[in-house]
Amino acid sequence: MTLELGDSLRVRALVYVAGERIPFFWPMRGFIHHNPLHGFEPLPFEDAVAEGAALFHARVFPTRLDRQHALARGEVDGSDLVARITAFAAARPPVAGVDLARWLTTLARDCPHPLLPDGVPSAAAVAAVLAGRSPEVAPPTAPAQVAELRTRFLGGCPPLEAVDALYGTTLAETLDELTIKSCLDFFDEGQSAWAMPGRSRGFYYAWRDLARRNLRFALRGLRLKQVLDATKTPEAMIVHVMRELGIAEADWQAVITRELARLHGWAGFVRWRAQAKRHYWAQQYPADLVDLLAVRLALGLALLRQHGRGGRIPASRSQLAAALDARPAEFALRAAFHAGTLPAALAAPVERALARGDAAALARLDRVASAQRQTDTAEAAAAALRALAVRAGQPGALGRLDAGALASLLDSVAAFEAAEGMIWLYAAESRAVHRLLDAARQDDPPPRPKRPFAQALFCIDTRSERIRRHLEAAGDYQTFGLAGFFGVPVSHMALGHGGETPLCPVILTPKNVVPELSLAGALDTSALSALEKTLHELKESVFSPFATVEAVGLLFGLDMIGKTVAPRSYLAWRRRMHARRDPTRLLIDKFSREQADSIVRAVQRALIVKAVRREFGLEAERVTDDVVRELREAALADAREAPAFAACARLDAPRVARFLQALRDDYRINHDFANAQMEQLGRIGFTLDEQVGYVGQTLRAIGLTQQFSRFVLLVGHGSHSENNPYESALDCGACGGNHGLVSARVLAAMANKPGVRRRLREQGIDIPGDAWFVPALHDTTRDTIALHDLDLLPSSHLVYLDRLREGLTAASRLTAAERLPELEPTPAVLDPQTAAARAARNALDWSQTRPEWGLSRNAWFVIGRRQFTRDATLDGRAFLHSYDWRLDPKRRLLETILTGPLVVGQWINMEHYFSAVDNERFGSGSKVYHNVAGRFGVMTGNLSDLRTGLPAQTVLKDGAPYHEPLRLVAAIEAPFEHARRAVEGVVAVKRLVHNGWVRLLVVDPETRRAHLYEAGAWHTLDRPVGAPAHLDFKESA
Amino acid sequence: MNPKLILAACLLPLFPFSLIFNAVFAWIRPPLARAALLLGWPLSGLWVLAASGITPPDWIVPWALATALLYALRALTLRDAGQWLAYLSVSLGALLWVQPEPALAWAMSAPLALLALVLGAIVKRYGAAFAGYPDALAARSPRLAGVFALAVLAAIGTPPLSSFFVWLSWALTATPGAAVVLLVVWLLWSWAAIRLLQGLLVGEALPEAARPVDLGRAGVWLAALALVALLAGGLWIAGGRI
Repeated sequence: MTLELGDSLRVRALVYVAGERIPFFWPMRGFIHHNPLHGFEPLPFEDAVAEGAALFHARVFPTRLDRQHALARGEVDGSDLVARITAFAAARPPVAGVDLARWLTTLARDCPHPLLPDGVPSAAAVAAVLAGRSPEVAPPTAPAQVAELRTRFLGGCPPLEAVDALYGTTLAETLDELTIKSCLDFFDEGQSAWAMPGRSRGFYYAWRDLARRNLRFALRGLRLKQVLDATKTPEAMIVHVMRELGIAEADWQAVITRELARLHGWAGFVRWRAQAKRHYWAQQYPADLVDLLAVRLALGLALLRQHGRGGRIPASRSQLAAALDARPAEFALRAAFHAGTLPAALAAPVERALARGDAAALARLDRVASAQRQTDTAEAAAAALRALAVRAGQPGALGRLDAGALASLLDSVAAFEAAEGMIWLYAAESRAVHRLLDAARQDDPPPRPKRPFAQALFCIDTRSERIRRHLEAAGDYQTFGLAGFFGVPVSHMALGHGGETPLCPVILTPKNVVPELSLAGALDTSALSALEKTLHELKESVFSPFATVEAVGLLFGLDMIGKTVAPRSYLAWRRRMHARRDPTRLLIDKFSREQADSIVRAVQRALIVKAVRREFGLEAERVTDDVVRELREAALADAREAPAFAACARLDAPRVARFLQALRDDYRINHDFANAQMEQLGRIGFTLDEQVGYVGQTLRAIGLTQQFSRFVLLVGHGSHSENNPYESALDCGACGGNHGLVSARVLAAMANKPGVRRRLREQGIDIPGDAWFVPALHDTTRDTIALHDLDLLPSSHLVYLDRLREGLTAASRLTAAERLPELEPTPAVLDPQTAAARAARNALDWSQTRPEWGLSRNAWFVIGRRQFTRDATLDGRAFLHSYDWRLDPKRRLLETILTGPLVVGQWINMEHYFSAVDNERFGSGSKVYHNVAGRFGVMTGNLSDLRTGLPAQTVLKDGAPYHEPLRLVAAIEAPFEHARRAVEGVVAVKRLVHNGWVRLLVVDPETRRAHLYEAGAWHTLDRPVGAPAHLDFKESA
Repeated sequence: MNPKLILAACLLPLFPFSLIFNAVFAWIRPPLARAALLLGWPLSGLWVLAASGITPPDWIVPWALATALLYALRALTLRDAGQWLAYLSVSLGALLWVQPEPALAWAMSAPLALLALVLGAIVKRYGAAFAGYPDALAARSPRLAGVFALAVLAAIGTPPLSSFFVWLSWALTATPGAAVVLLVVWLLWSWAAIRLLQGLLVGEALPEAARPVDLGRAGVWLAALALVALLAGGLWIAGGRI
């Protein structure tokens, strides 16, 4: 079977559209927080979560019980909750004799579980139960059953899922397993000792070749060859399977979406990989969602045929449709039986009747089951209503309701239970808004008589809030917040690493490369490092582990004992064993054209010398510069002769011609490669203009344009933990899930350059000569701040260094003392030094599943001056971005903050929200069961979907949400019109705000009023900022 | 065939005579009556055998092994815990032909009787004891789930409870070929037990799922006492007979 181009493109379009709903999954080396429902962001939040819940079979709001606990802890605004429930009740038809608002409020606050979990029962049946009679039940009708069955199991339902639901098989699970194994084979990034053959041909073709002769599939009884021989391309395979299964073309989109969503971790990884043009493994071994879907569908068809051979289960959708139409009672029972929703007492009789195929018994049992279900539902609803009436203080009200009023009451309760997730969410967010406004200040900071002792620029990360507060309290320090890549998107090439690491938010693509160079000579691997590498290789190869365990297993045992018994001392000893790392420099200046050309030529010359030595054994002394130049020019000119070289090496013309061709082909002395090298060299470093631009923009964005201190610390952040695949999730999101130190070093190097300062002075930013930018790293697990590149520090600054270090140490310890009680049970007051020691131990403890809470409980994103939140203790829950609207009349800086940092903050917030409300589907479950897969992700157990999202240990505590699931409350301190126009000017942010993915608050320093965007309009809050009060809404014009 | 032997084949059930026991077991519903049946049926068989003075023919042990194997295999696909218990009783009852001694019958049947009582407690609370109905028993009724798990383990011959020593005694008495079949039967029953436990105990209960009153402390203590008795019985068998 072959496809026309148009058909192929159509299949690709279908897969592309389906993929849009699947969030990217980035390799975990650089964990990227993302919104699991990113594909739904064009929709309003409420609609998006409903669709996301249906597609991913997930919970999208916390349970009522969790919200009730939050209410008891003061995390939900009780009065706002009541107000919203009252407004909801007022919009419903009144029920005579029932105070609907009171009943619904009681339901929300006092009843832990939904009143109508199984849908709305018949009001007549409930009325009968309330009256003490047996309810009359309606027997099931065949047309209604057929319609329901067709909706559930045909249409967009993947065929294997339908078969499983109706026949109790586990085909979809088996298909997942086979697909995952295929993915593990292909996408492995060096974890396996033996790689899958033929991967460079692409996922589908490599898998197809292997699958046709794969004994594993044959042993399972899968006749995969028959399926694969039908077509060649992945697009054709998709069409072939869809047609073989009899799926109507109108349903293809829905089926493809469901198929991809079933393993959304793998699909998200493949989707990300397909567009990651600089990812080495993607370049070498290409794959996309079409490949993945083709593999999955081919396996699915083979599985279905295998199990359908005996005729017990339908092998195509047309057969299934015919069976549903012919025997609706049987299939209704089948669906209920396998879903576990039958009345328990009927389970055994139904199983027997299904086994016998006894149509009469099945029809009878269907009637009994339906009647029992209706009775049970009515009785449960009646009992719950009675209890609710008593709690609401109207115990006799139910007895006075007629059937119509009871139906109206049931409808209102059902509508409320469908809407209460949003009601609770708004009430919880209202509390967060109150808390921020109560703590905020609206006055201008008092003028400083002199410059601060030191200024520190921190990442906006929520964990910086605590240490900034303590640093400011420790002495004459001024702090600022900005995105941790310090506004400079770079691609870093670390010392000893061949690849590039982008250090910026993933929404940006860095253009400039910054390599790291060592001040020492050529890298020399220490003996210990070599030994460690050898041990790992022995451990990971195919045959050697057996002998390795016997021979050197004890070494691993010693390592284990050391890490377990005395982690701090043992790991410190191990660090001492490694060779000390020499200082390094970052190459931040761009090469001129001449410099780049000279480098390329030098590399070519070195290669030619090496080639001559290797091919002809001629040592350097016999190969003069002239000979090398001749060879180089001949190779580049596509010539076949090099007389001087021929004479020197005593070679005949054909041999010289062959060597020249080898230089072009094997040693890549050719124009194409030289151009590529020039292009690569062109990416290294920044021009002076770029450096001036980045430094100036960064300083202006945070409002730091004067009164520069002697020390200006650029504090990136990162975490340290042992045995933690999620370590990068604790690193800097603004640096692409990496440590922020390199970005700090890059900006410091730029800002310390006299040339840059001279140009900045011309632009009005006068950095005095004694101001020195010092890069530093805030270790968020240990709460320490380490200064870097101190060898570059002017000698005039050394006398102040002790004072600086003492201030940093004090802030570190106080931060640890504040943070530790939230992390582990501690005495009421923890000594700062003890707290710091415990934090340090957490970082080294390889059994610690929660070295820190990370960004959990994030709630606010504040864009404003430090003065705005100076008095606020925000418990490490706020992203703080410095911004002074007075320096930004054209709103450019604010738009930049909204475009980058706010969007990243929203991704982080949504990742935490959904991981907290449904940790199994949107999060990654418990870390305890995680295994690293292919060196890019983790799976639960030995085989599962790639676990996306955050682990339970990051967002849950004792099984309940520790992270408070709220949408990000973004507060801008700026004149209302200024902020509003900035938001309207950034389409992506405008969409997020209008669709309710971010709660936006504008605090106007001129009018001293706060404005909140809600339900499609701006509302002026009728309360002063900085004083606790109740929240009232007034819609503005 | 001797009528008394046929009667014994009904009471120490050999296929197809085992169908009688299964029918009687399915017909009787009260847990106590089922427990009495599980205890009395094989003992009656041994009494008939002893009273008649018949020496079982050589071909009866292979027949008994085949019956035990058949029911063990069939149990792998069962979801109804009551039927599972009946099949286990048949399988074990048939194996008494290997070593027809009353002490072993007691040691083998007592855990089955305990399991019948526990299943009765589950059915009383949830309406059925059928894999998936209820599911997540461990989350909904943790005490009952614990007692149920221990009772199942006791029934299938987990050391050091009495039924384990029964299996051991049979294996040591049997010919090597028969011993292999015995071990296979034992393995199959262990597998079937895990499937049953998985079907009933494991899972996450929805917050709104029914949570009837769990087994009381008295019930737990009684079950614990029974298990201790089974343990003591096992030790007695081990000390006195093996």
